[in-house]
Amino acid sequence: MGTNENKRRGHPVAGKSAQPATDRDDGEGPSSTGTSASERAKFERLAEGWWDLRGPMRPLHMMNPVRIGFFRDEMVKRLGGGVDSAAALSGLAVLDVGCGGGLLAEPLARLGARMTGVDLEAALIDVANRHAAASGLEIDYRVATTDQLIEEDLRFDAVIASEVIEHVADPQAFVSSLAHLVRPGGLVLLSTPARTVRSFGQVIVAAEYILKWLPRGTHDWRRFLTPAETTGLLRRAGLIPLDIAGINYDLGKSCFYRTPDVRVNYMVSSIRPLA
Amino acid sequence: MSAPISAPETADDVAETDVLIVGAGLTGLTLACALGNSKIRAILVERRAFSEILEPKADGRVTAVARSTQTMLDRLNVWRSMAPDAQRIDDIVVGETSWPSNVHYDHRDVGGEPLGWIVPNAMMRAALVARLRACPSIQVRESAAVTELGVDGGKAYVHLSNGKTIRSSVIAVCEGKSSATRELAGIGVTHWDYKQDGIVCTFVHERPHLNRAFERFYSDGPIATLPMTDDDDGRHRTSIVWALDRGRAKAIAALDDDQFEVEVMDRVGLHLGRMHLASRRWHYPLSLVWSKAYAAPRLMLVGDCARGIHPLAGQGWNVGARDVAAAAEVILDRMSLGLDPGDEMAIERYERWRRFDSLALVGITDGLNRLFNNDILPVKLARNLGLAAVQRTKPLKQLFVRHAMGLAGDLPDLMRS
Repeated sequence: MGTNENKRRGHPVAGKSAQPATDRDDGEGPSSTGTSASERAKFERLAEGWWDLRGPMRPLHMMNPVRIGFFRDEMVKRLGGGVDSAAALSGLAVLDVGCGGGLLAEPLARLGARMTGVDLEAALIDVANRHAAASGLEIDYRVATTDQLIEEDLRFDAVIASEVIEHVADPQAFVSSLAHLVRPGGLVLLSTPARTVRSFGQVIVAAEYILKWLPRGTHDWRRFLTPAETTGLLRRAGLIPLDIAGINYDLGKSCFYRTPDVRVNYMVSSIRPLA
Repeated sequence: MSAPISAPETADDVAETDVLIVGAGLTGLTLACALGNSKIRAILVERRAFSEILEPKADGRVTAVARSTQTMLDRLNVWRSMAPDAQRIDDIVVGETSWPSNVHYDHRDVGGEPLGWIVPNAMMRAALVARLRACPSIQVRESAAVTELGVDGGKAYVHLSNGKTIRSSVIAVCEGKSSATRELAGIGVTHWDYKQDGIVCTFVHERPHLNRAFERFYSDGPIATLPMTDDDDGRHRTSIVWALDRGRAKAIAALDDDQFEVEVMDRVGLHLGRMHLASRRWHYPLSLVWSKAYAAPRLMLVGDCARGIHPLAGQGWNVGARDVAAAAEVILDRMSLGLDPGDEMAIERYERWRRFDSLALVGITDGLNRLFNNDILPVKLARNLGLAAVQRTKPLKQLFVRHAMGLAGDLPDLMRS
């Protein structure tokens, strides 16, 4: 399983960036390559900047309100939550797959969710643990694959994989594992860039090359999924797609916003049927 | 901000909160009500005692409440307590008596709703404090001044003159033009002395004001009549706001009340009939104070401490109210997403949002005052032609009226009706 944040942040140190996406420790199965000392050092260096709003993760910090807003709204709408807006997710057990340094897990925990976060990069889980402790939040972070969680027979009210599926080698197997981890009646929530001409322009050309928000080669556009492909994956995993919304960037206000236009980046909610 | 000093000895001396509001003027009180309405945890710190703030005779000023501001006060459940003392304005007439061209802003041009209201500050304050006391998430610390502040470990902190410390995700400074906390935060200001004094007082008069406000320009400064509700004896009332060159203001201050009445009537004209002074005369020096930044790490400047403008346009508090609504929206948005309400994303969004409004306003009122404070004939002609053009061009006038009503620009949610 990939770390969305890890991939977005990219690999400025020569070496790994040259690897094709399929060779990255994405998707199913544990990292077979292990993590060398130099890799660890690199991640630790980058990990320092994980929560720095002016650091390399800035785009994801900027996008955070939109994706949290969608995930929160879907969970409140479909699963019920606290009446109080400051504890909207109280009582819900939520899994964040590819949690990175915890940019998504922490706010959801603050809204009352009992969070579990998994990632393959031990250095990032380390960052996540340290930051959660400093924030006074209890989050169950683990270096684990989805398969390991399935073996433990864990079930969640909602399973989230945000900006992850575009990095995994076998998206269908990945989505099926998410479906396994959600209880009947629970939600699987995804966000990912779309494979369209527009997203090629905005995610690859603008974000990676012109604005230099993301290191070049962070994304392989050919691996992006169209909304129809994603909903197809969900259906084949036995899930029922419920809603879809787009994310776009407003150059004038310098912020991301939710839109019905799903041509650049989109978020999907789906439910595991009760029977 | 200054470097953190040693931590206080006991936990009893340290309070934790999400939002710290410094200053319990109209701006700070309104922000506290806005946060309290959304059940956000906040502490309001005021250096004076509340009994002093609530003394009705302490402040003779009135506030022009624009439509958008009224919408917000209504949302916060405070408008209904102010409404009995709020005088609606249906028309605003701007011009010079010695020249024929006036601009007449008429509420019928914009759908028949009032252009705004005039409310005595004392009544606003009382209504806000009453509402505040019904908000369980808001705590008040009175008679306590901020002596030091800083950022440390993902929180802002302040030390108070009573020896206590408050740690908060974000600090909203609402202290007015001469904010000491703004200075502690190391934010400089641009200061411009208009070399004018503002005279504020209340008159009772023979004829009804017909819900009409007048603003007249004279070469030594503008005078405005702002309609008020009738007093307890049923007498018609008007608030006078008169800006005068400092020398003239001194001379006027030396006059006895009878002579003062004559001077005022001379400027106001005859439409209100006989006028009598019904309050003391307050004098305030007029200055433009423009903060060099609207924010610092984990700190937002809200209201007059961000920019204290000329009272001429009657917009000062409405822009402050927009700061309040924007600050409340940014804080609420962040917190309802489980995000930090005082991190750089929050502060940046607030600063970017407020900068535009402030720039436009300082420019307009400052320019207007200088333009009208000038007896050179071409300038006089030009401004009269300008006013005449505004009067004849309906879309332009509607835009100006919408601006005066506080409805132009990027409105915060609290102000949308």
